[in-house]
Order: sequence, then structure tokens, then C-alpha cells
Amino acid sequence: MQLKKSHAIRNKLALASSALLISSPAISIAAEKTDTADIDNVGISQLYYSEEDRVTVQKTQAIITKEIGESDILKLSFVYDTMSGASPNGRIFTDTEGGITNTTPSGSSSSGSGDSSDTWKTSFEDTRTAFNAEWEHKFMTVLTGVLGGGISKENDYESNTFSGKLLLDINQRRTTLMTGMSVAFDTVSPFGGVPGGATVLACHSNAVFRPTWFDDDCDKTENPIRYKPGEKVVNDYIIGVTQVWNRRTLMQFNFSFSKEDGYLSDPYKQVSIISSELDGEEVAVLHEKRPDTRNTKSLYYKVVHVPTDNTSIHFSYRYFWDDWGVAADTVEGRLRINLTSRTYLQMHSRLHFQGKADFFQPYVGADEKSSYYSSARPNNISADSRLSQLLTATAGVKVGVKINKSSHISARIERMTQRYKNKLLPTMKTFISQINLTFKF
Amino acid sequence: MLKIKLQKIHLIALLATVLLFLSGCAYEKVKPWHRDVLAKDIAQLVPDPLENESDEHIYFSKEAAKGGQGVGGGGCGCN
Repeated sequence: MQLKKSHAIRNKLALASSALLISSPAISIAAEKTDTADIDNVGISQLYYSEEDRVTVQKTQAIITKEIGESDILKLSFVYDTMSGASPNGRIFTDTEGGITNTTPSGSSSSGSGDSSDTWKTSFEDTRTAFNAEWEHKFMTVLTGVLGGGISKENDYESNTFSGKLLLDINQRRTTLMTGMSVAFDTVSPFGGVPGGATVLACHSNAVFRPTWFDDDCDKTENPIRYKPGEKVVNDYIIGVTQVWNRRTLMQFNFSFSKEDGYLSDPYKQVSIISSELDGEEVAVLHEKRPDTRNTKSLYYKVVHVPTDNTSIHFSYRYFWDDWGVAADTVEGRLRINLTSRTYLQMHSRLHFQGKADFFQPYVGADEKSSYYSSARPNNISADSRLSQLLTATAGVKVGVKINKSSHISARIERMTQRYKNKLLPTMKTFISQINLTFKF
Repeated sequence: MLKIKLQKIHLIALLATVLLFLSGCAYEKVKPWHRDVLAKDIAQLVPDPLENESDEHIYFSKEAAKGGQGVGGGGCGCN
């Protein structure tokens, strides 16, 4: 019994000082165990995410962690999402024709519904199924390796990821050095194929003034040019160090960089062409076009401090920048207080401020005074709000209850708002709730 | 030029944050048998993997920045 307990604590200590390898959303290859039980446990979660007048997501998730022998751990995770609602498509509010035919992630043709107030968003329905597996092996006392792989599939999108990392404990296991990498092969397959970048999707009849290069495209809108599915390869790399700073403080510092190649545009995002001569009316709509490469970098710092045995503070800061011109600061904090030996309360807040991408344009002017009037087709252009200057603020609260020695339930509610510098876009207001159940087997 | 200056400011801010914290927390050569506090659930770097995975997905879908904690796949269509 004592031996088993020691083994569990040893694992936790290793975890406490080991860096985390977490993927971007679709692929979770976290090397750490869940919090209530070290290993041999199952975590089940149900999340409800609802944006006001936009997208609603229901997410069901399960993570199984199983120790195999003394030196191996297998971790499996499964995610099933259902998504519905309407997502901003990049177009502005307009009084002109709303009903532009466009493909959606659900594969069918749809549009802004014809109601002029809905032209800025596109309705869709989709599901996502993701499965990830990860094998952790301890080569020796201080060296651990992890191999992972996963697949994520939507109606119009598939991602296959392979990853690996090494963790080396030094300095009497007070310091853990980590290096890792992953490669992802993604394919987006909108109905009919991906559209040509910066090509015209629709020309309204009131298009009195428009750039000369529009005319050819406008003639083709009945049979628009579409290509095969869009493919991209994403390579992520990370190096990091995790340090036990003192008996109550742990910190982590990571540097990561990423290289993306291929079709990086969003086939569902559009850009309005407007005419000031027509009081800002939309006269045509373009498909967006992003560069076909992207290099990103980020610095990440996290500290966990336990001032008393019943209180902990988590604080992290990330600085992100890329060669699209985006730079972002993200600050996040959690305060957890154990109310009793079985219950705890956790407060969470997060602030994210980002600058816009160089090629972000909320719309394009179609007048003779505009540089677009007679110039060539724009190299890169996007009105996707996610590439604009914005501020995301999140605040929430969570309650956890230990049911017995081997199971634990928690629930959280959060409010997230996203405000844009581009006032043409309304603030996104989101409600998030999640229930988690974790138990040993 | 402006971007380079901004990046320097960000790096300085990060460094200042780290130093500010370090100045308030003395470094100790903690022995393995003194790490009981850090082994508790309350002190885990990722206190809840289920919640963390959900949050990573949400913010990846709604913002231009990504990552920092680790590496992973290209992800999703993310509308």
C-alpha cells in the first residue's frame, strides 16, 4: 500500500515539474494526468457554448488515462462536437441584396437569408469528431518520451496529426527540459471545392463603379471558378523549461514556433466591395485570400503559486507574433480556494488583445478615388474579424466537489466578450458552461 | 520599425513580469521529499485537462493567436 502511494506521489512530482505538451484545439496530446486521480482514470465532460445571435456548440468529451506496467502510460481522448448557428462571413451590414448563394460547412448552399440585417453572417450546421492517442514511456528515471497521433473530422474538414516530445529531468528533478514537435496535415473540402482567392463571389446590379478587373469575374459568377480541396501542412515546434522554484512555487517558460504551408484562407469568408458614391452600398463581394505561408512564434510564461495549503494562484502570459503582422498579448489567471476538504471554488479571468493582420480590410472601396479601382486584384485580403484588432475578455467561476476518494465532479460558467476596433462588427457575447466528471477505474 | 519597437516592449513586459514575480519568491533548492505541496491537485500546471482542451479549442477558433503551452495539429474548420 505504501509502495503504491509512493509511486503515485512520484508520478505527481514528475508531473508537477514536467512541461505540458498540449495541442491546438483539435488534437490533445497532453502528457499530464488528470487532476483528481493520477492514472487509471476516466474524465467525461459536457460543454455548452453559445454566442448571442451566432454560433452554438455542444461538446462531449472523454479522456482515459491508463498506466501500463511501471514505465508506460496510455492516454486516449475522444471529442464530439455539434455546431449550428451563424458565423460572421466578413461582409458588412448592407441594404442591398442579402441572398448571395454560398457554400457552407454543412455542404449545402445557403446565404445570409435574404434579410439585409443578416448579410454579415452565414448559417451553417456541422459536427466534429476527434480521436487522439498518446503513449508515454519512461526510458530511465529522468528521461521520458511521448508519441501521439490524432484525427479530427468535420463535414468539410479533416486534420491528421503526429507528435512527439522528450522530457529530461535535471538538477535533482527540480528542472525539466522539454522539446517537442508535431506535424499536421489538414484538408478543407467545401462543397464544390475552394474558391479562387480574391475572386468575385457576387456582383450586385447597382454596381455602377467597380474596378476594371471585376468585370471578367462578374461574368463568371453564375459558374464560379472553384478548385480542389484546400490542403495545408502545419509544423509546430516547442522548447521549454519547467522549474520548481521553491516549495510552493512552480514556473514554466516555453518558446514555440510554427510553420504553415498550403491553403490558409477560409473558403467561407468574404469581403464587401462598397461604393461611397452609392452611400456605402455593397456593390460586389469578394472571396478572401490569405498568404500561402505563415510563420508564428510565441513566448509563454506560467507560474503556479500555493500561498496556503488551501489556495493556489495560476498566472500565465503569452506573447504571440507572426509574419502576417499579428501580434497578441494574452494574460490569464485562476484563483482556487478549497472551501472544505471536499469542495473548492475557482475564479478565472483572461484578457487577450491582438493587433490586426497586415492584409485585414473590413471592406474595399470601389470608387475611382480608391486605389482598388483600376489596380490589379489584391494579393491578399481578408475581412475575417478574427484577423482584426480585437479584445477578448473572459470571466468565470467554477465549483468542484469530491464525491469520494476516486471521483470528482465540477461545473463552471463563464462569460466571454469579444470587441472589435472595426465598429462595423457587433460585439460577440458568449456564454459557456461545462460539467466534468472524473473517476478512477 | 514600429513593429520591432512594439516587440521589444512586449519582451520587456514579459521579462518585467517574470522578474516581478521572482523578486517576491525566493528560490530554494527544494528536495524531492519537500515537494508535497506541489504534488497536490491544487498545484498542477494544468489543473483540469478537460477544461483546458475546451478552452484551447474555443480561443483557437476565435482569435488569430495560438499555442504557447505546447504543440499540436492544425485543428479545425473553426467557423
